[in-house]
Amino acid sequence: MDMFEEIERAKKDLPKIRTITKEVGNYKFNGYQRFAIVIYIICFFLGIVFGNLFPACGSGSSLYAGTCVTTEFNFSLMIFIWFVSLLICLFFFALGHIILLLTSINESFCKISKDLK
Amino acid sequence: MYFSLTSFYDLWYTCIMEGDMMDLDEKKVELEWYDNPSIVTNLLILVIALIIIFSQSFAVNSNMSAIYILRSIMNHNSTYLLTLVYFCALKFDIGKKYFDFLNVFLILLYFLIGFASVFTIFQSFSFYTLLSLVLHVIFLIYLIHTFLRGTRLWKEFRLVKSPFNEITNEGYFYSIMVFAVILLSVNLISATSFDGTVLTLFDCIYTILFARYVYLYFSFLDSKKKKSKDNVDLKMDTNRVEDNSLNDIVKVDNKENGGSLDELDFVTKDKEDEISNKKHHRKRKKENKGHDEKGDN
Repeated sequence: MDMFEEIERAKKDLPKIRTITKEVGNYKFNGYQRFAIVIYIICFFLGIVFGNLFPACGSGSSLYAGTCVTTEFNFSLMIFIWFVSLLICLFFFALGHIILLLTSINESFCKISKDLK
Repeated sequence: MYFSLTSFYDLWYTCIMEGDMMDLDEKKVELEWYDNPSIVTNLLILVIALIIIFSQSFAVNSNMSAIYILRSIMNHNSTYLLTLVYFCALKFDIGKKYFDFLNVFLILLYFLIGFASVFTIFQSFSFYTLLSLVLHVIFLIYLIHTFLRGTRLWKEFRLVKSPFNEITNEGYFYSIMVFAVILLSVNLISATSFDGTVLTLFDCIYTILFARYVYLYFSFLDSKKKKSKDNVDLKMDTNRVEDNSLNDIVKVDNKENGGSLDELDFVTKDKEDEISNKKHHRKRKKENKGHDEKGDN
């Protein structure tokens, strides 16, 4: 049990779900960020549909046979679609975050100029 | 002569104690390979690497199209690649630090695999697909009830009240083993080539080794819980002994100050000797005081 004892000494505890929900709840989403989240949810279900539409050859014994005896859900295609859609949606999410930061900087500059006047 | 005898005895005693300690160390080292988590982890990494290498080499050797390789071979190897990432991460400090996070990732992965096997049943209903679904569901429940124990999620999701806690560690492990062996036999019956047979064997070995890894972590958590319980019991016993000794002292004081005889029921023989010694000591003090007063006068 030495490996597990080492892990027990070194490991970090999981964060509380309440802290995660609080942080997500306090964050104000932009229009672009909401668009990115909606697109990701659609791509999530698309991945499941495509995984079912393009099945792979199942059971390791018949992988190299001429004919496929059983087909199975294409898990790798689903993961691939999820990963690619995550990258695209992250790009839009980051764009929205940059726009949010720029608008907040603009608002603070406007406040400073008003105070100076 | 007396000094030399005692020094000889001390030497002999220390030699025996060191010998016992060496035996204990040897016993610690003599763990079987299937009880050593680091050996099991290394074997898992080796088996996964062999599965990926053999599957790719067999695919190239049988002149398969690139689309078929991407579709079927990658699908077969995707779960192995992700679990390889998990076990390789455990070998580094960062993996040990984020062990609970990796376990959550592993549970999510097996949840997705179980989810995929449900859809597989709708695609091709057979004994093999049913067995694989049952195996994946058992694995998922086993992972949740092992890796989430002792974490915050165990308390937050109130998994203490889960009915699957009734199933023992051995129950989970041996049921997975039985299903893996039955799956192996079904696959071997339907195997038409040497390549498929080799891959099926490696799949079965991987399943059993992975179940063994989870079994070892479950038993580690059980032993940790037992140790903490023993420590708590020891502390409670010492507190009880201290409380009893305090009570004895209080009862002795009560008796000396004119308390009832019934309170002395719990006084031990040692305490009785103490009481008599104290009485004798006080008598002597009084006598000495009397002598001093006479001397002063």
